[in-house]
Amino acid sequence: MRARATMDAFTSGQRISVRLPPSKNVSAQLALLEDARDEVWEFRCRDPDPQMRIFGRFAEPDLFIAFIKRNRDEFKSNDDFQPVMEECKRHWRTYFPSYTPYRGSSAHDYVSNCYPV
Amino acid sequence: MTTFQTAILSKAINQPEAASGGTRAYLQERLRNRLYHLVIDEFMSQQIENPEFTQAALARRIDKRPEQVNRWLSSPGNWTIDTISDLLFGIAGAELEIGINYFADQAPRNFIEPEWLNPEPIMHVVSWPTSPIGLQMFEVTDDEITSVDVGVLA
Repeated sequence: MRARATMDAFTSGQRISVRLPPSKNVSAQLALLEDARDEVWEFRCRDPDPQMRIFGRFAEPDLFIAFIKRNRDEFKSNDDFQPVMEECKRHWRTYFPSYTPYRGSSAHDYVSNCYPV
Repeated sequence: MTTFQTAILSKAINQPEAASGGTRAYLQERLRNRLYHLVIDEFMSQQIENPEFTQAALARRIDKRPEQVNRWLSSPGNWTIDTISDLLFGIAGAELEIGINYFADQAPRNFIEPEWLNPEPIMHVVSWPTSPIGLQMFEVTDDEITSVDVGVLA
């Protein structure tokens, strides 16, 4: 339910903290995963344990398409994110074969009400 | 902007038994997010007025370490009341205005979602050669199989 509250904060336009590479801020609520060219994002629900991650992509500014949810403890290293990112891209191709994910250059390009960290 | 509806609240307030942990967790997180939104909005407003007002300047003003302030402002957290007081005073020379919002006084909301978010599950029926025959039904979606019903044929 905490994850739902986090998603509600985003959909209701509350300000959320957003991280784009090269920032390594570990506390951001929404982060663009590396390699950034893949345009795969994660919402981070950090409390309580196990933390949850919700993966998806942006179709346009402020429009996040969530595909996958996972517990954070499933990821022991950065390499473990790669299969989920691939799965995310596969879902995108399935549902939106004619569209590419939205691509921006700053946090404000993706989320109108954001606090870049 | 589309908003996600919170039908869980209207369901929960009239129940005599203890509120579920999920409902309470939702409200706790929602309050954290709202306080974060309030504080960060104020911080960004002050930065627009005075670009030299940084996290470091705020840290000096409230006598905290810069990394502590950075952590507070990076995401909603389990701030203490004293932290909120420090942040609002340090950022804007302000204090929190207190009020209560009763869910029971709010109009019920309609929760609408596109059909494709809830695709019709494929129903599978598995029977065992017993007498009477037990039926176990499963809802099968893309990523999970859930046992939903057990019936008995006489």
